[in-house]
Amino acid sequence: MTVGVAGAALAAGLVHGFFPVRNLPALGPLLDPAHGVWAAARTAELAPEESHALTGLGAGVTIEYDDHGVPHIFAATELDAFRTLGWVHARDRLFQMEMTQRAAAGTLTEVAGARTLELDRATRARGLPAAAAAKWAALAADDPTRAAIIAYMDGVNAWVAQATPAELPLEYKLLGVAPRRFEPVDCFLLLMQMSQSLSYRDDELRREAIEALIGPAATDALFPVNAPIQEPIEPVAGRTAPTYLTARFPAPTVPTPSKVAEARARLDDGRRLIAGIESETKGEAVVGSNNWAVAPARSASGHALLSGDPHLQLTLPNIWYEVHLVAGELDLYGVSLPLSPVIPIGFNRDVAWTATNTGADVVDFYRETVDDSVAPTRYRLDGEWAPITSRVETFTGKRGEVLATDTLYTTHRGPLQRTSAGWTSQRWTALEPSGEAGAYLQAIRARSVDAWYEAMQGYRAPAQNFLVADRTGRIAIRSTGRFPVRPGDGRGDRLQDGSTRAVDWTGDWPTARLPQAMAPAQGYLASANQQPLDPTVRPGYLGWDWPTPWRAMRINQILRTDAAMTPEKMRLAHTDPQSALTAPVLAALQGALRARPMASEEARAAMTFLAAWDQHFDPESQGAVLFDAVLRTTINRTWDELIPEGDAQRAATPNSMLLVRLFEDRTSIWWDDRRTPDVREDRDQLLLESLETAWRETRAQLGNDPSAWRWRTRRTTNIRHLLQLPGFDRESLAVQAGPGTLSPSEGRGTAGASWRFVVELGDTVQAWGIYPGGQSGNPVSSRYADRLEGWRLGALNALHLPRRAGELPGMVRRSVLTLSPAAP
Amino acid sequence: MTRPVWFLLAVMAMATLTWVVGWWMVPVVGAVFTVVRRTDAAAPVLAGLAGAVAWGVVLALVARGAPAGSVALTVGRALRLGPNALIVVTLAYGGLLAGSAAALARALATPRERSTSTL
Repeated sequence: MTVGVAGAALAAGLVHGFFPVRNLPALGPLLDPAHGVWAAARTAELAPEESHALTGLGAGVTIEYDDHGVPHIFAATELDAFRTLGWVHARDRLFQMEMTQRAAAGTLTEVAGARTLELDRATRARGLPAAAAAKWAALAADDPTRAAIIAYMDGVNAWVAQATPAELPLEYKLLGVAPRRFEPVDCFLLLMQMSQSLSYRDDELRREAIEALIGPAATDALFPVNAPIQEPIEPVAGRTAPTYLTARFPAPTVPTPSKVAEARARLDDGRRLIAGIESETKGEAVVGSNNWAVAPARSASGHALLSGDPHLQLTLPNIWYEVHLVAGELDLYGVSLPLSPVIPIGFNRDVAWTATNTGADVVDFYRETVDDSVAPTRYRLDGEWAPITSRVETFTGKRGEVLATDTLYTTHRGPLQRTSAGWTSQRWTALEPSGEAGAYLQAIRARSVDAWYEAMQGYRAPAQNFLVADRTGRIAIRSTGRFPVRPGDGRGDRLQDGSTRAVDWTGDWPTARLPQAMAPAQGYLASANQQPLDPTVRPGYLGWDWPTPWRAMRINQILRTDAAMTPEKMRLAHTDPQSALTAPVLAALQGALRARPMASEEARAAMTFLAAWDQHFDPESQGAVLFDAVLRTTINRTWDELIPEGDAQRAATPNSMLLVRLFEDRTSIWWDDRRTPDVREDRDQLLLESLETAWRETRAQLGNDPSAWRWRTRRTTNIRHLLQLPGFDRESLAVQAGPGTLSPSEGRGTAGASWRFVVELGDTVQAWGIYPGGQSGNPVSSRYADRLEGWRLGALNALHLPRRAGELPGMVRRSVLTLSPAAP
Repeated sequence: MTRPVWFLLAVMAMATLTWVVGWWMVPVVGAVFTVVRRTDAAAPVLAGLAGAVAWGVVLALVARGAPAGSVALTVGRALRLGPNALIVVTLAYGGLLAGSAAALARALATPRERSTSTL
């Protein structure tokens, strides 16, 4: 071999070894068999016994991992417990923590390069990093929350510092980056990120787009402030069934070309504003959380039962990390969020709590008049010019190179951004002072329902329907958080003229006015993201375009009709195959067939097939396939007026609750199919044509023999790894779920039950739970996705609740880790 | 010492130094091996082979009681390689580093020896 050839080969090997080339990370650290990606195998499983030193501990800590990989942390003090929690979080979920922090801080470009630049820009423009920093800075030096967060982050950094390259998550090696140092403010970034997922919306811009297409009256009807079917979270005394509000469906206006252009521009604005936010809960439930509880009088055991079923975008690893902390008086079990010491959902020996998203309108947009349309320095306010503050944000790439700089502007309301409607400022509860971390850390010590809510007084965002039960048998629910009071008609769904303070929020809903129920006479409580208050009983604007009530109706039906609930019945309810949506839709189809005796043979055959269906969305179901096809076809044909001229997609889709209410109006103009200008369709014609088309298309797609159709081929759950890498994802999971079921299945199937649990608050607390995934973030660990099959089947694991170290039965104890104090 | 013994020594050195120091020790050992075995015409090939075998040994050690097969499968898929391609790529990379370093060392060392003998 010549010098040239040998040199070139070696140079290529070393250059690719030391440096990333194009999208490939440096091959040396990647392929190194001892420290590269292969090392993931060495750290995949827990050693039976292990010991380490941890700086800052006051005393030794024992951590016993059970057969589900749950660490039971036994510490002398709470601070030691939180420090240890940081350490175990880092060991199992470091890369997830890194990505969460970067997503919320708008620094993803530093690990992923320019492809995430627009996401980072949107995140910073929304004001997340600045608000997180302000919240951390606002904590007093002697605030116990501060000490807990510092101890936690010290634990995280201690693990990072002692980890060898071989022990680092393999994702770092695939990306060719190193872990960053974690800071206390990161805890607030995580909480901000949760607020963003659960409460940030482009409502006003979306509404303007819809109004431009169909006019304000039709918009109010199709995206109403009050849900036309009421099954509120706060029970109405004496009511034993949902109620139906009057629903009218005025004809849409015909948009001019300029209105269509305006609609498109507003939709583009909205898409840009919510870039990177996936957990939208508007309209048809893509993400649909549930919770319910029964008082002792309605449980078979005579003890209070509580069930939690929070739904979120599903990822691997899961957003939650299950943990048991025992320290002094604290004995807490629940799901934690890696990057913080808080346990948002869980229980202690006396109280259990869980949450669903309230979905209230807590973001408002204002059209501002500025002095300079390119680089504004002042905005008009009450006849005078008010100063705009500005700062420059820099976005850097993997090697520290500057990718972009943005100037971000702020008014007294919040971040100011340029949209097609001009310069638009926003006000969002999550950006303002609040005390979520402190509230959560205080609430875990509560010994009663009332003490729990008292501890949560400082909680502001994202507003949650917190359901709480205690061992005395008391159950309660409260939509907890900050709900702004607005001037005028109180609505916050329309873009306001920001040139006057008269449009600003005037206060917040007081605690006494919040949607809530304490120890209700009916003996049970439930929430499923539905409108919390029945406006005919307790009026007041909390939001608009509420999610469908189908899940709430089904839960309440189960709880109303069964006065002897058990944990097992609650478990079955999590994956209940029935939907309250099927009955009204099938009734409408049957009514249409009766009204049209001359309907086609295909329509009759389809209806016969649907009538024989048990209305269960189980994976093997055949009828579910056709029902879903009919529903989608009906929706597409009914709401065609919402497709901007020349576009393929609707600007927005009224949810199925509106469709069901529209069934009552046989001749509504909304039934008219715009594709057939010579014919004015009515309800029955549109429904029968939808039935016929769905039958024909399904047979064409899946075969003429309906007995071979399977729901699992149409709708599955797909859980993606944070980097969406093929080998790390788990896709095409057949689940018992469908439109309107307690476990709703819509769209791409990337959302679902992020944690299911049931707690029985008897003399001894018992609990069962599961989430899709596993405790380890290591994709080659047996603990990466070990719970997935059980979750898919609706199973729950019995949770182990040892009171002290050594009490965990040997047969379920997988590993014992001892952490001892190290010299600083 | 015979050629197989030298080969085994090279494998052991590469495996140990990869484990203790890092991947870049493989070309270093490959180059040293060729210089030491300068009379052996096959030294660069043997060094390359030793690099691949050494990394195979390290992989075997990693795989003891650990899911290395799962790494091959999942990371291979993530990198859009075949199921066992990651193993082949890893061993080939070790071999390339050691072999090319050895060949370069041989090529650079040979003229210097000639000029020394002239003196």
